[in-house]
Amino acid sequence: MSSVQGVHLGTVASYGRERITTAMAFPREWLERRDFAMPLLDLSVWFSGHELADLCERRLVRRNGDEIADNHVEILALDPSCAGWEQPAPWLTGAHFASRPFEKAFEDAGLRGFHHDMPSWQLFDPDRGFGLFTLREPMGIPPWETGSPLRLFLHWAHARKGRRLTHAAAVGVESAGALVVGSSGSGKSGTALACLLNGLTSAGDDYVVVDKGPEITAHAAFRVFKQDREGLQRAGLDATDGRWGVTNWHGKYEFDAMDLSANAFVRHLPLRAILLPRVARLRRTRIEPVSASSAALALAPSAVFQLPGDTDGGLRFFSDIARRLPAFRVLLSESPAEIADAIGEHLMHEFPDAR
Amino acid sequence: MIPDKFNMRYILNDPDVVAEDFDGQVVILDLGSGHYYSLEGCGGQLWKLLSIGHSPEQILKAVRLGRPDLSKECAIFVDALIGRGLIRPDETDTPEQSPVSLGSIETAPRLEVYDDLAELIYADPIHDVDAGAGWPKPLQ
Repeated sequence: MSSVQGVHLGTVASYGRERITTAMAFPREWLERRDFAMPLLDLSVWFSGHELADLCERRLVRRNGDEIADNHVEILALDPSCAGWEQPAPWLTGAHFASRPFEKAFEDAGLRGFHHDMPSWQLFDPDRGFGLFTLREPMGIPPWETGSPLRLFLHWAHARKGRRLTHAAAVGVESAGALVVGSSGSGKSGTALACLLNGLTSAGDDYVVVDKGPEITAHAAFRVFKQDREGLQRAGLDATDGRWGVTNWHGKYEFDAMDLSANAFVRHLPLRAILLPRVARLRRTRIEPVSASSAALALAPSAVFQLPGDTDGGLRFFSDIARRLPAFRVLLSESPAEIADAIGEHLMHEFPDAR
Repeated sequence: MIPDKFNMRYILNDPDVVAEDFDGQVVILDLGSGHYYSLEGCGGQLWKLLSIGHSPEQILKAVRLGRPDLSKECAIFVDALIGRGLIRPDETDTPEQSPVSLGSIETAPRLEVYDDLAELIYADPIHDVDAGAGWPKPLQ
């Protein structure tokens, strides 16, 4: 049982601070440590068991051996199977909840936080680079996080360095990459899969880390791609051969991009453009310029609203990206190979210096 | 009859509302509601005039002189900005007194409202979530 009967907006920050302080002093000797040398980020995570650790091993991207990271974060994933660790507190029955005051309460205390009603809490202290995932049981993570475990911790960790975990795919040819942005059903993931399978590269189909230096770069975070049965079939993959496992909470198969095409999945892509796909079922893919404001509208809201915490600067960050990179609407055909060819040709034509 | 609220100076309703101007095309996020907006037509011009401190009535007076055919749409547009809480009265200052530089207005203003992500905000992750589906899918 939790010693706290219920948390509400007035106590959420003090609960988060107390849990983080307790976790920082929690003995580590019975925990399993895994180190993830990710692009731009060294992540040390202490788990209560191997199941969540193994999931992270399968999902998180490792950086190339010769690269270094300027950001180190430690996370403890604890549950009551760890002796002395109590159940995560529930939300107080009947207490009001609103996302913005919830977020502000944490930020005013120098923290980031997220609660799920299983219950679980994801808590992060950006100044210390310390995170706590307090769970009801070792695999009691929110169901949508199986494809992107530790997603919020990555978001908060990269925000410390002015980078953003971004709700977008990234594809490229040679050194010309493009962010692929759009809402559910726009063809974003299908476009990334089409490119991965047909001669282009990709650094992710749902989330990438965007670093906005003199050059704007997308860095891979998760190895997993997601598609439903129809999407696999459209991509020319046999959805019936049993190797895709079971579908996730959203009815999609999650699979390792490295298994599909190890060479085409890349850790980094210099970004030269923003692509806004649209399922159009044309005979040939058509690509046409759109305004920076259209790109910002496609990019910023979903990236800001899907990742709580550090939201205030989100629009400014993504608007700057939209101003610096030309944007194009991609009216998709039904042929994955043709889509990949069209995007590849377009990028090479627009950015010939990228060869 | 001019509503009193049209004679006030307005400012962006920060920190919950954030906006970016792309050469007259304005994108606005309401972090509290999850709604986001784009200002179309001459909406960006009106937004800019409000941003520099002119009151709605000062701006609408200039519209009535320059494009009387659009004055009703402009009034409705400004009223929507106020009603949706994108701007709030500036309690600390009076309206800008320099002449309103309206420029040329091509088309009526339009406030495009996008609510497809609002469920991410409105969905209470603690009480309103189908445990099988999880946030951000709200309870059906």
